[in-house]
Amino acid sequence: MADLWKSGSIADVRESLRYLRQNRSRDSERVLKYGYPLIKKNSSSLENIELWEVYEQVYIAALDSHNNSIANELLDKIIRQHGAKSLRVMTLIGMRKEQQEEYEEAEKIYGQILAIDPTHQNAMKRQIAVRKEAGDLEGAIKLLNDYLKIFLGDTDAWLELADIFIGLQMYKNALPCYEEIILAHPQNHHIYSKYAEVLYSVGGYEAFKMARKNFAYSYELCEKGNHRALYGILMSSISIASTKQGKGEKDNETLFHWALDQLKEEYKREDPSKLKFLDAYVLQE
Amino acid sequence: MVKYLSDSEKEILSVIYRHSLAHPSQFVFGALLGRSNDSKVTIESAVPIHHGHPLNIFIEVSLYQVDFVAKSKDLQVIGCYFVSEDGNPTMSNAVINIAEAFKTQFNNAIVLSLDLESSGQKLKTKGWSSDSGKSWKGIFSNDLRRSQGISLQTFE
Repeated sequence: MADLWKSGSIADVRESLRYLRQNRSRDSERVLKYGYPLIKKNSSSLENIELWEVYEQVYIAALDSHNNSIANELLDKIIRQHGAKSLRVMTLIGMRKEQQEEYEEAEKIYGQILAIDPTHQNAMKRQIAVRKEAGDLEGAIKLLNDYLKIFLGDTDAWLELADIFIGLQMYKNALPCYEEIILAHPQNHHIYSKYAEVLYSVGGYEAFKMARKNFAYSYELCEKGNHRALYGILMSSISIASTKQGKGEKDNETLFHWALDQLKEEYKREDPSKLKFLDAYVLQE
Repeated sequence: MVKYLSDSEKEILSVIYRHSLAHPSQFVFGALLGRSNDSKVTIESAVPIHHGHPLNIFIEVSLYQVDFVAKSKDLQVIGCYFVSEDGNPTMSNAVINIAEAFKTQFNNAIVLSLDLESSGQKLKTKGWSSDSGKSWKGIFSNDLRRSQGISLQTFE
């Protein structure tokens, strides 16, 4: 996609912007650099719906990049076209307030949106973002829980909640969040590794065993390049062996040596000069 | 009373600063390598380790590898550095968790951080040591001119 941007052609820039919108990704620097000239000079080449989607996208990129003059210009045009009473436009105005760190004003606007539509997803998310930015993590957790009661399948929200809990070192609270994500995406090996890493932080024989199991499943789902899972099995095995219940467990020793051998093969293949690092990992006998 | 020294302050702090710039909205941490001799600890280099939440597994995996590499260069792990998401140097529970892990490698471990929130024209740092004790105490606070690099030879 980097090549599409560089070509500079209208079609390629439109395609890049569309790709980012469809994948809900952000690349604010490039969106601003290529998207703003597109709407300034070539707006006639865009269909009406696409044009205003690009306006919104470039506006958000301008907020991200702290380009206030472009942000103000685009917001004025959006308001003139769609009116300041549109809930979508009110969300954009709220985001401008957030960018200016006027959090009370932003919350007021989101509150007004939710008074009209109590399940307005974007407004609810922005409220959570404001609480988080203001350092009120307890408030953010409460709002996230309220949001997830309505939008149970929003994986990003579960990840966000897990992230806040982990930041507060509330690892046991983070675990159910990952369990929800696993239910929604049972083939995603990354999630099993993340879940296992949090289990590892919980600590104790049972948690280490669960961690090892999830690292192993992550590796089963994706072997190629999954060093993270292999190291996870290695470390979990070492930790299990250091516990009273796990000391001398034969299965544990087998798994430890298996993971170590897999890693040695990977390093031999990819970077033999780093093989020596694996000498540091020793299972307590 | 342990004295912490370094002849490579500029290089060490530039590693830490660049690590924090590479991940501006995230917590970063790394290891400090050096040598200890009686009551003197010389900090020789900094090794970036991780960005994001410092879960135990990341700390432990890195300690294994960094310690191994340090020994191969006749150095030892003598502490760690961190830069928090908001640039504010505080010994939070997460930082204490990291520091305690590094203390298992070296009893007089030092913790170094950049105070990006207070830094304006000058780059400010902060340090802590447990000095074989149970709690972590602030040991110095330094102002360093960004454009001129580090001027002080000792951190004490």
